[in-house]
Amino acid sequence: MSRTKKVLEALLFAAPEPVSADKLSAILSTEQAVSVREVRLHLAELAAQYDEEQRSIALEKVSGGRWAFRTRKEFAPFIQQLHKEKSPAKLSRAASEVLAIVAYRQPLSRADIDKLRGVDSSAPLASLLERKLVQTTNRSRPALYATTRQFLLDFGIDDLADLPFHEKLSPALK
Amino acid sequence: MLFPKLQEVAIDNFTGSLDVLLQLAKQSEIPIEGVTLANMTSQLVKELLDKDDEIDVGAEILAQTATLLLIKSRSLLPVLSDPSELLPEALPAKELMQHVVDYVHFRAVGEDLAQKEEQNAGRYYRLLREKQSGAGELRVDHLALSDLVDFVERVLQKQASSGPSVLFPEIWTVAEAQERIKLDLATESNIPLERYFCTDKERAEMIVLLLAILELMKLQLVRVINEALVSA
Repeated sequence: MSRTKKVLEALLFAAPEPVSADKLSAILSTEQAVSVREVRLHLAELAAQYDEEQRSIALEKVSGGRWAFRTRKEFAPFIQQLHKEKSPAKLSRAASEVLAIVAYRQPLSRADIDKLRGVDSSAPLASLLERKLVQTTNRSRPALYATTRQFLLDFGIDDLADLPFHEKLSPALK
Repeated sequence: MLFPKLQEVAIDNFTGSLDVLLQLAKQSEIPIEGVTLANMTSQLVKELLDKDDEIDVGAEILAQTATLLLIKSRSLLPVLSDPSELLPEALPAKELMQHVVDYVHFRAVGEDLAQKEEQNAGRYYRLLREKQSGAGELRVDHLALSDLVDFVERVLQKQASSGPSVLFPEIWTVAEAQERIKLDLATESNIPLERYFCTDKERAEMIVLLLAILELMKLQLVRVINEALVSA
């Protein structure tokens, strides 16, 4: 493994949050100039290496084009024991609908969500707030809701533009 | 327009009138606007009877039925002769169609998100776990329950003497109030409690804020301190 890849591996292992190729390039360049494009190539190779070796962790591009290590799903029960946490409950259909509405129309109020769904959305919205998938963006009335970075991370979404039907929606829906 | 008689549909995970409307139209292969109000309401009444022990759901169904009555009654209004007089709200069929199209899109995206959630569940990041300062402490130092009760009584008395109040259509939920306080704390580490209980606030809002603060204290996300005792 090249020194550049080793440094990248060390940086991503120690990073408290996903890191962008731009930032990795800037850090690497303190020793020797490495372009962002080169960093991306190295990261892709490193990710492929982890896959080939069937390691328990994978290197992946996550939200906002940033990179991070993630454990593979099969090891979840053990990690949950380590963290003494229960497997999180699956989102209800209503909560998924509300999340989709917030993702496309953010920021918007609860009344807007209720109008779109034709039904009261307080309960699903509260569950999304509790799971930190949505947050309020203002301090005045009415509260406006938007998705969080946690939402992108938890759902493995690189960008909101990657959501399905995005290109088909009318401008008013975006 | 003649409306066909539709058969009753079984709906799993009932989530609203739009669900019923979609199911009726889909099952009978007719345009959305062809679904009769009678079919809609009978379906909703069935749901209502099935859920006779769930007051909230029953209230929702009644509200939805009222909404559908409004939409349908609008559709029965005569079309104006001058097209320039047509306002968006005077085009119920178009409005209803757009509403349903939007809803179908969002429901599809919701299903896609549920799949993504399934794919990504149980996959952990190599991230440092966020440590909350003071975790494990009760966070009620220098504060007795009687202090909080005294404080609430004081602010409510002040609020009662500040004159007639105005009712707002939107009321904060406890979850919203918690988010609001967390937003404030992201920019300010110390906030005087009085700020959330000033006289321009409604009594209901103050109670919601108090519940939110208590919940945040329970979750050890905020600490409430009686400064008089701390400095003593």
